[in-house]
Amino acid sequence: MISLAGRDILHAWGKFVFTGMGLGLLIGVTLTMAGVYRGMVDDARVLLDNSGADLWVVQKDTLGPYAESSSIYDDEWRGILAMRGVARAANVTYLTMQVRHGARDVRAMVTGISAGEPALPGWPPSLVAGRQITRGHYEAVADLATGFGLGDTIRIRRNHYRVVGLTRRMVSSNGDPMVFIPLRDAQEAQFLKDNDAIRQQRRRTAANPAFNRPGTPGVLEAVTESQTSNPFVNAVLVQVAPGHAPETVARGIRKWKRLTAYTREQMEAILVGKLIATSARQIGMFLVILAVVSAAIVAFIIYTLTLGKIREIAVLKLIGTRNRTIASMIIQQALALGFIGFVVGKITATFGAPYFPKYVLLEPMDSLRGLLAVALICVLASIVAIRAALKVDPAEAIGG
Amino acid sequence: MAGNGIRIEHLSKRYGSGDTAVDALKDVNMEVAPGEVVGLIGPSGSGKSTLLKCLGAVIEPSGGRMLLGDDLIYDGRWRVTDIRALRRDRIGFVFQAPYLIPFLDVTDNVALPSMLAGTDNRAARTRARELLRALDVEHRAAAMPSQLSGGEQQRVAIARGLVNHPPVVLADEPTAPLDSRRALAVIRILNDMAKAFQTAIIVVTHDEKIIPTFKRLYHIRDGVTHEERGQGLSIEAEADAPAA
Repeated sequence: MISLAGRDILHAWGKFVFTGMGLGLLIGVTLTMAGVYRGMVDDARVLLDNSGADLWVVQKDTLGPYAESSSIYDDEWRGILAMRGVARAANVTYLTMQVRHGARDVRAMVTGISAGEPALPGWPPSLVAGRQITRGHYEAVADLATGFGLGDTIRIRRNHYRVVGLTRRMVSSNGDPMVFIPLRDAQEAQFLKDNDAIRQQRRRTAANPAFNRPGTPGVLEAVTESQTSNPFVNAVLVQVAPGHAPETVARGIRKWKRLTAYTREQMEAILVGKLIATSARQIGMFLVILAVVSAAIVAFIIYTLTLGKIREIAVLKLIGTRNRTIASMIIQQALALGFIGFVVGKITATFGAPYFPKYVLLEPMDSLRGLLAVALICVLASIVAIRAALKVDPAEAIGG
Repeated sequence: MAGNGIRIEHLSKRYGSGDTAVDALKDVNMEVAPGEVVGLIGPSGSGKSTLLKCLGAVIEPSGGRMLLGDDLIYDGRWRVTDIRALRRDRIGFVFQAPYLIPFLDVTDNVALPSMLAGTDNRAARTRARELLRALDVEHRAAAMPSQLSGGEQQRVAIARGLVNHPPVVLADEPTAPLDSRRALAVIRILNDMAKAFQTAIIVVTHDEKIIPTFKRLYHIRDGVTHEERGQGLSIEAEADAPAA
C-alpha cells in the first residue's frame, strides 16, 4: 500500500515546508529556553568546578558565598588548614559589580584570590593567554566574555588593574564573567569608600569624644585605621587531602571552628535548588505555554488541511479505505509537520544560541526529549482533525 | 462471473419515523445483466440518489432484497459482515465529477482501490495500466489529475471504478459536465467496458444527449421504478447528429 500521507506531503510540499518553518521557529524558541535553563545549571556547576574546592567554609548559618552574603575573618584559613584532612585552604572574596572598560561598563564578578600558585583553590585553573597574577597588587586575569584583552586596563573602584591573563568559561552562577584580582585589592574594593566619604568619616570619628579623648592619644588613629581596612573574606575554599571524606572534614570544621561548611553536593544543591529555582520555574512556565501554543498551531493547521480534503476523504471512504488508514494519514502528516518544525527549530536554536547574552547549553538528551514532546503534541493535535475526517459520510461523494 | 449482475426486488427506504417519515423508495425492482448498461432516469426528488446510495451500500435500505452476482447481500438486513470490503471489492463508482485524488498520479489513482483490497503495488499498477490502455489514456499514466482534460479525468475515474473487477458499476451522472461529443464517448467507453469485463453498469442521468443510447431504462417516479425499453440508438449515429 502506498503512503497516502507521503504523497499528499510531496504534492503540497511548499505548504508543509513553510508551515513547518513557522512552527520550527516556535520550537526553536522552546529549545532555546530549555538551553537557557541548562546553561544556568551549567554555569553553577562550572563555578563550583573551577573554584577547585571540595569544601566551602562560610559564615555560620548562611548559604554563602553565592546564594547569601557571608563574612568571616581572613585569618580563619590558618586554623582550617591545620585541621585533619585539609590539604589546602585559601581565602576568597566575591563581588559582583560594574567594571569600567573604556567608555562602557561590563558586569563582572570580581574575585579576590589569595597569594600563592595556580593549584590553590579559587585560582583560575587554566589560561588561554597571558600569565597568572604574580604581583600582590593591580594585576588581573579576566574571562574572555568580559571583552578585555591582554594589556587592557580595568578600573575597579578607584584603582586600575592591568590584564595579564585571559581565561575562558569562568562565570558566576548568574553567568557574569569573572575578573580575578589579588585578595588584598579585592578586600579593599569591597570596603573602600570614595575620598569624600573617607574625609567625612574621619571628621565624624574625630568629633566623637569616645574616640578622641585628650588623655588617651592613639585611640583616634587606631579607630581610623580600623575603619579603612577590611579583615573579612566571603569564604575559605578547602581542598581535602586524599583519603579523607569531604563530609567528615566538613563536620570537623562545623564543630571546632563554629563555621558552616558545605560539600560540593550541598553547594550544588544550594545553587541549583535555591539560587536558580525561581528562574527555572519561570522558564518551565514558558515551556508549558510554548508547548500549548505549538499544539494549538499544529491542531489548527492539520484541521484546516483535513477540511480542505473532505471530498477526497469521502471518495476514499466510498472506495473502501478503512478509518484507520485515514486516521494514520492525518497522524503521519501531523508528525511530518512536527518533524520539519523540529529540524528547523533545532537548526535555529543551534545557530542562534551563541548570540544570546547568557550561556545557552543545548543538550542532545533535551533535543531527544523535545522531539518526543513534539511527536506527542502532533499526535494529540491531530485528534480534532481525525474526528472531523471520521465523521465524513462517504455518501458525500455521491450527489443528491 | 455469475449469471446475474445485480438484481433488486421490492427495495424500499424510509427516512425518519412516525408522522415525519418519508418513503424515498417504495418499490424498486431492477435487474441488470453482466455486460449490460442501463439508464436510471427520473425527476429531481424521485429517489435516484437514495437508490444509488442503497445500491452502493452507503446507506441501508429499509426492506426488500438485493443480490450481487448470485450472492444475497441484503434481505431486510445486510448479509455481508464487512460493508466497506463489499464497496471496495464488488462495487465500482463513477461520479458526476471525477473526484480523483489530487496528490496521486493517474496510475495510482486507478490502482488505489486494488491496493486497498490488498493487491501488491506492482500488480495493482499493472492492472491499472491495462485499464488505462483500454480507455486510451495510458499516455497520461504518470500525469497528475490537475494536468488532465475533463474527458481524460472521467476516463481515469471509469478505470478506477473497474480496477477491482466489480460485478456492478454505479455511474452517477458521469456525462453531466461534458459536451455532447465527449458525453457520447464516455457512454461508448462504458458500453465497451461492460462488454469487455462483463460488468453490469447502472448510469444515473438527466442527460438528454445520452438517454436515447440506452437499450433499457429504468424510470423512477415517487420511489417506484418502471422499466422502459430505450431507443438503443447507435452512439456513432448520435455523435454525428447535429447539436440541438
